[in-house]
Amino acid sequence: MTDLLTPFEYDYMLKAILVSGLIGGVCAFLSCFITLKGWSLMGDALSHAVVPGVSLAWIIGLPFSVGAFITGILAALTMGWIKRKSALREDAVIGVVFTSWFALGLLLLSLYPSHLNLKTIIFGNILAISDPDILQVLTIAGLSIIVLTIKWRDLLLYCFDEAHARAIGLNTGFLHFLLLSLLAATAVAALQTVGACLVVAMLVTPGATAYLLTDRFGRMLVIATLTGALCGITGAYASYFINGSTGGCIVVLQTLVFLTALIFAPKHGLLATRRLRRLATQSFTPTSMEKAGAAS
Amino acid sequence: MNWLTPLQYPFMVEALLISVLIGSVCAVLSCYLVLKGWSLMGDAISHAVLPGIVIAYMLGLPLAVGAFAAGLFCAMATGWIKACTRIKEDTVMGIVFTGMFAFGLVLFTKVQTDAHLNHILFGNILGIERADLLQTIIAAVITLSVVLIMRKDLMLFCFDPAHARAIGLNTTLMHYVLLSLLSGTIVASMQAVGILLVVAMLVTPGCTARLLTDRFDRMLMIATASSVLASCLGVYVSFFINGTTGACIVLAQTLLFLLAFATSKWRTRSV
Amino acid sequence: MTPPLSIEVSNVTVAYPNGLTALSDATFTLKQGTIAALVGVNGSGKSTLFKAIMGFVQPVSGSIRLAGDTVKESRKHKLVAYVPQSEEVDWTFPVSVWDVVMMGRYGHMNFLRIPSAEDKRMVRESLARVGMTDFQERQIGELSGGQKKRVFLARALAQNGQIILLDEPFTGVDVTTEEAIIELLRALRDEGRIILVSTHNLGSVPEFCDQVVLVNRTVLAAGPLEEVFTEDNLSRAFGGVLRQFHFESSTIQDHDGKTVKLLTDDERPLVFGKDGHLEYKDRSEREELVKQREKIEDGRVNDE
Repeated sequence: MTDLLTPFEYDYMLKAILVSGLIGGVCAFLSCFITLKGWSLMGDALSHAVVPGVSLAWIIGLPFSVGAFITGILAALTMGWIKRKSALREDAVIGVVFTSWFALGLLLLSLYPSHLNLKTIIFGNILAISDPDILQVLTIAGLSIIVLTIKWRDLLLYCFDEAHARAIGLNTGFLHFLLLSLLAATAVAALQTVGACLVVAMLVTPGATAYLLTDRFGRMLVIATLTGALCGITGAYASYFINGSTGGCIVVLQTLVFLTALIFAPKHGLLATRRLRRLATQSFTPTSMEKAGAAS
Repeated sequence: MNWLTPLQYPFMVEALLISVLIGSVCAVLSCYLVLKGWSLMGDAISHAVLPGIVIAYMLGLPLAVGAFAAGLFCAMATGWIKACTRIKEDTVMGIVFTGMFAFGLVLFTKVQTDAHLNHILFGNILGIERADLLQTIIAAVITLSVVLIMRKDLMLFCFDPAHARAIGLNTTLMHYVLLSLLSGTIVASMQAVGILLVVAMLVTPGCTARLLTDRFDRMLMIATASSVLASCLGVYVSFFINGTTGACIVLAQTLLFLLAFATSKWRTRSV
Repeated sequence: MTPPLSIEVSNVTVAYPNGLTALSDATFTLKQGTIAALVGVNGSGKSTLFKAIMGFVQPVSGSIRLAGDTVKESRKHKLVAYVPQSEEVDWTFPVSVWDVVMMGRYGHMNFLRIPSAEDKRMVRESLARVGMTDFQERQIGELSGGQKKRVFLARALAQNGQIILLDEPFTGVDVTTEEAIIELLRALRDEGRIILVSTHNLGSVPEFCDQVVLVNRTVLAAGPLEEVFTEDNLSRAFGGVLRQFHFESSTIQDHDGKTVKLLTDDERPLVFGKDGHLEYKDRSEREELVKQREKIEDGRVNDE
């Protein structure tokens, strides 16, 4: 029993667990919008595109999050610009731009090593996060939460029906940019927790899990945020025992929760849909007979 | 040190030859991926091969076999979950590949084979071992010949699957053929640019070519030419600046893409 | 004092960046209290005209005035409501009927979009008006085609849009619902709103419209139904797309009681009588309207 409590005796573990939980929650909140808008690839792209910013910020002497955020936004703007000016498909443009950005980041990191080494950036290393970095992460997470709680209804409307949002006078250009900025900001915040390669999981999986469990957006937000935060906390805690990559543990846990929801979800799960289909085939013959009888 | 110095080293010559081979395989496949809209699929499969590699290492199998199997598993799992639920395909893909990548990562830290992880992730074209080289060449040659033999069928499948089915092609089979080719290509280029950057090799050449031509045959040729050129340029430049080779290759690809982009803009404006 | 409601489209030309001119030199005017049909084949510029009225595309030349304001100014008053085509909506989105209708109130709410009692009352009323109160807790994907349409119409009502644009509202909707929707549109017209309905279904047009705007890359003709809906105008708008079937006197025999029955699928047929006058169901009521209109026009002539 005391063994289970050992992680909490270490200061760094406690910090890691709390920061993971917070970031897991914020990313999960945003993931509801990302999954519904169909922006998963964008999440993956921006989480890779922030990498050169880390290196550039180090060279100039800025906080890493500022540089990372700026390159993330720049990448998004480049994608938009090339998309408008060419006949290429959107996914292809995103692929070209984010890999270029990411390659640039890798090259810069190999030429000018920064305070965050390559492995930390790619896989995250929440256990070794420094206090100034924690402060940056907390600031980003706090700002994102404030913006999201104020603007979530507008963002929901923008994701659901852009034409209507414009008709009633919302600035959809601004909302588009806001969602991109939030995406870039949370990608930066999650960078040290799970690393550039796995950020997209934090930005997609909790939303999809919640989407399987409910048909109401409000509930979806609550379920996703809870799942994200709990997986963050539990994953960081578990990584102490299996002595493995913290980011990996968090994401594996989120995937397992998703798979559980996929199978057992009350209405949209595999078992439920299978049962419904069976009921439908069983009752098909009698009801259609009845209808035919009633009609004649 | 002059401009010919790199060619005096046997490992550089070898690296240049491999990059020609891999550059052409990736370029040919990228034309299909770009037209089919499968860029994210390339990204997903390339990350998903990680657990396959680790498991193959644990079982003592060739790494390429494990990687190929894991790549196919990712594609099939995505297709299956997509068919069973109302979740959008891109989301499903994101979940499956990150889940597999994370699993591979956790597994990896337990197995302790640190020597290879960086090579798998970022490529190591300047120092490929004999056995790995053989795997790379076999994977590349098989993939390239299958694509070239089936190129007409695959094109039809990408352009109009309904018609392909109507004239009696087995579209389900074609779907899996294309997925297998994708996995094969990723396995082949893994050693050169690493699994994190393979997707660039699989998307950028096709886009570059698409900007310059409206004909599929010409697109294949332009893509191959630009990809081979970029690969050689990347290897060559990385020798001088001493930076990650994979990143240099990808940035050379980007440079060619930007040139093509500028050219196509300039052309449409002058017309 | 706000100026009376109207849509004035004058000499509007819309071109897309790829060089395609979707609409050129389009002109028409709609006054308060009308239901107008926007009729044309696919690709004739119907949706471009909608987009221009909603301000999604900027005309290269010409101007659009809504109640005297430019499109940009009018957005402040949330004047225009839009009922999208069913294909444009993601029906798996996790929102309920109530949520969707509440979206119509967003423009009227404060910064945080927290619904007031007034907002809730409007939503309840709108739902009641389209007869969807019992379904308010349903997820939108669980509705039938006609119910889905009514939900979005309720949203337009909740928005209190004075100009309502409906994009192909009758596709995938059974005839009973179609009639219910038409009934509602008439009530809205009588409240003084302008309702602009885009459709390619000719047969239903005479059933619910009093004005028609015929488009084919430009506005071919616009005005009262009886004047615009002529065989000549329609063949210009639809080119060779229309299929014709003539009932000659040889077809209509005395022993049939001089009646002919027309059977079609769910789309209503458009029938012209002798001398090209329109045939439709509610003719008796409409005769009055036509006479009134003639009187007014005669009056005007006399004034001059």
